[in-house]
Amino acid sequence: MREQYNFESDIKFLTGRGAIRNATVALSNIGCRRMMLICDENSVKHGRLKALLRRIGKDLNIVATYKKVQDVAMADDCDKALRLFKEKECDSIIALGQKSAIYVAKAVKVMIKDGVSFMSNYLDCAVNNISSDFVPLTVIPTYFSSGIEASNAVRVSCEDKSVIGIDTPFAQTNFIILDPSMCALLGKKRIASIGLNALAMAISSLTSRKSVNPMTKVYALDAITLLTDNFEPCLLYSGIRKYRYNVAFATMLAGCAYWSSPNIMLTKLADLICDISGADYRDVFNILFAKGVEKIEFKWEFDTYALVNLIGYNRYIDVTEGKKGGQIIKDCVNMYYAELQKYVKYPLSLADLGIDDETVKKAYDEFTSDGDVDKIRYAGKLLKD
Amino acid sequence: MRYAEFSNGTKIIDGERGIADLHILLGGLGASRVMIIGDRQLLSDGYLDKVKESVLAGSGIAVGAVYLGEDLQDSESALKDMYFVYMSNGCDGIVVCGSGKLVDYAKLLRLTVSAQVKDIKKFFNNSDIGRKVVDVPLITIPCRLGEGSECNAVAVFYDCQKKLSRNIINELLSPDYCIIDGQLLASASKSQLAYGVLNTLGKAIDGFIAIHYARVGIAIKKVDTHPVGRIFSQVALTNLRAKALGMLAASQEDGLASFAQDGAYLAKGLDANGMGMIYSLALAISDVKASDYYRCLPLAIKAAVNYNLRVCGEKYSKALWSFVGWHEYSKYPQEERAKGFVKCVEDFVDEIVGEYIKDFEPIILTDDDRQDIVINMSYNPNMLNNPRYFDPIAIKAVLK
Repeated sequence: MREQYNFESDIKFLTGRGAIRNATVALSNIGCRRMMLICDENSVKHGRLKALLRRIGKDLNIVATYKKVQDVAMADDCDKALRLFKEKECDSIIALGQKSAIYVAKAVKVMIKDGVSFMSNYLDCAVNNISSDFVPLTVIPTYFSSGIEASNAVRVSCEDKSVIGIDTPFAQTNFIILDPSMCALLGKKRIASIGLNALAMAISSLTSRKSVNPMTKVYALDAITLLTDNFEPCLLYSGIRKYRYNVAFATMLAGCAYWSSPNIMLTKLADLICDISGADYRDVFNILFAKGVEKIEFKWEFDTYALVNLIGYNRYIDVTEGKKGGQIIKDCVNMYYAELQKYVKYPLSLADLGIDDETVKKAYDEFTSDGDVDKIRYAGKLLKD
Repeated sequence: MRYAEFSNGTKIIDGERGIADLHILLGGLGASRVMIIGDRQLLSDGYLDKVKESVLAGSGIAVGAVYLGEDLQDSESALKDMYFVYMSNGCDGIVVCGSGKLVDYAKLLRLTVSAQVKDIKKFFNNSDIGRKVVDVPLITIPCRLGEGSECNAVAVFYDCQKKLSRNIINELLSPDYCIIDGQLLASASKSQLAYGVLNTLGKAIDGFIAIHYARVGIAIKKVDTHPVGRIFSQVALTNLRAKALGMLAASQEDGLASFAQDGAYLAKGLDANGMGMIYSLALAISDVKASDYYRCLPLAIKAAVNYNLRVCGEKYSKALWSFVGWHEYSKYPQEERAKGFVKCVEDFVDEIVGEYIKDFEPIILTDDDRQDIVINMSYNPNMLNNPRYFDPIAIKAVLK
């Protein structure tokens, strides 16, 4: 029986030079009159906030700014931001920066919708309120983004180190604005980590066994095309903004694709290892994904030849006669990693990230604590071998 | 890094309960009195009754009027009629079920009501005109395969005075929902399905060329394809030959709906930016020869792929990969791939026309016709993917 897809997201992308300026018209059109800006400390430090305000400060009425979000989104930040939002009678939110700022902005949106005042109480108190409080959320990701702006996920840490994870369509972003001026200069290692993460997300969503929204295919393919053309030049000439922008764009599209059909086990395992070790999520995700491609047998329900046809001409794909579709994809990923290793030394194993065996064991135990057979098999393949 | 906007636009619903859930969709869009637009055939088949029942199943939703679009040749008076029926019955939403032309008129009705601009001629050259004043929910149910109009932001309007088809592009033309009903599509004849395949092929090729060669013939407003929109053509072109032949041979509901869905996504992604060259050329031929648009499609596809051959060498080679698959692709020597794509497309068109279209009469063009076609095309301000900046001599040459 055919699936019915009526859950296509309503995110509007404004991309390219002048996207921020043009966004003022789009935001006015949907009735944003009193806005709240949430950004992280990094964006303030690197002048992104200043640059943003210079462009839109005159045209948009930003009545409140919360700029104390740190590298990790904390429940306390959400509470404070929500209080500020209510005090200043705001009607919409703009989030600027990396993952943490976006999580806080989404959390505020969800809290307003569900009438919750404290994020730490969200899971106990929220009643999935069907309210008409619609708060338009605009996200301006910087280069550090990992596609989270396109997801419905919210992940906030509490003071007692517990993590609140929510996945709700009410946390959806309404506008994503990607302006080249926001693409910060980065080191090669970081670019490699971001680019590989985008590639991993795109391939993961293309090979997902779940029945996904057909739009994800389009986003994933576009991300792969953009990465093929721009990833290597971006590593070699990281000073050229065009390449940085295109990789950032690919990241955003890969995020759109991945988060509509996330590999839950991979994401959870990566999150868990990061929580325990404090390592960067993207690096851990990339390593686990590469291991997964190696270790786990592809049992895709669709024709892998069709997937190769779909990806189209790509210089990393070697279609030597006799190869199977799954093998072609595996070789493609390995070749990509091998090529990039020429330009940058990025971590290839968890040990390279400083994660010792004890931490890995702890993550394994916690991940498999509920005794789920699938989880044990999955974690065993990725962590034990 | 050029500025571009992209939004999801029309939501495509492909499922068995699509029609049954019509009242839920309308309720969600805030419609309370709906105008149903269809044709006599659908009425006699009882399909419009089914649509009406589904609309009435929702509490608080009424059917204001049922309009049967018949003589749509006189476009201006047809649109006036529709406008009169819509306003006099106090409707606040539209459900249209029918062929591409009927869907186009419903979209134009929505544009005029929504923007409160009665004179459609004002939209001919300026896509900036018309801000939304009134919200008019629009749901489309295509009854023919591969039309594209069910979910794009383009509408074709026949200008009786100049005797040519004008294309209008406006964000307000984009419907809210498109429901793909495999059962309805399966009721079409084999010839109609085959024409639908050709239309989808034409759009996919248009889209593929537009990836790198987005140009505008005579531009009022600069039009460019969005980086997201461009990939739709790659998805649609992939395995199109195998999918189309399988679908035509089996004619099963599921295969049809899946093919129609690919076509709908393609139209949504590509036509938001403008009309492709194949589409524009087929329209121009149909205007000049006063014949059916679909009959002109085979000629337009062959002419357009040849017209762009010299400029699109490398892109054609990529298109070949998607179209025939990498197994067959790798058999072509590198320098032969662009020509190979043209050959494959021509063979495919011939195969479809020869096997599935009954009593096909090819279009014969005289020198005067070719001149008229070029003049007609120059009236199209939204033509995309013309890498040679509209070369009239070359167009005339490939039409020979």
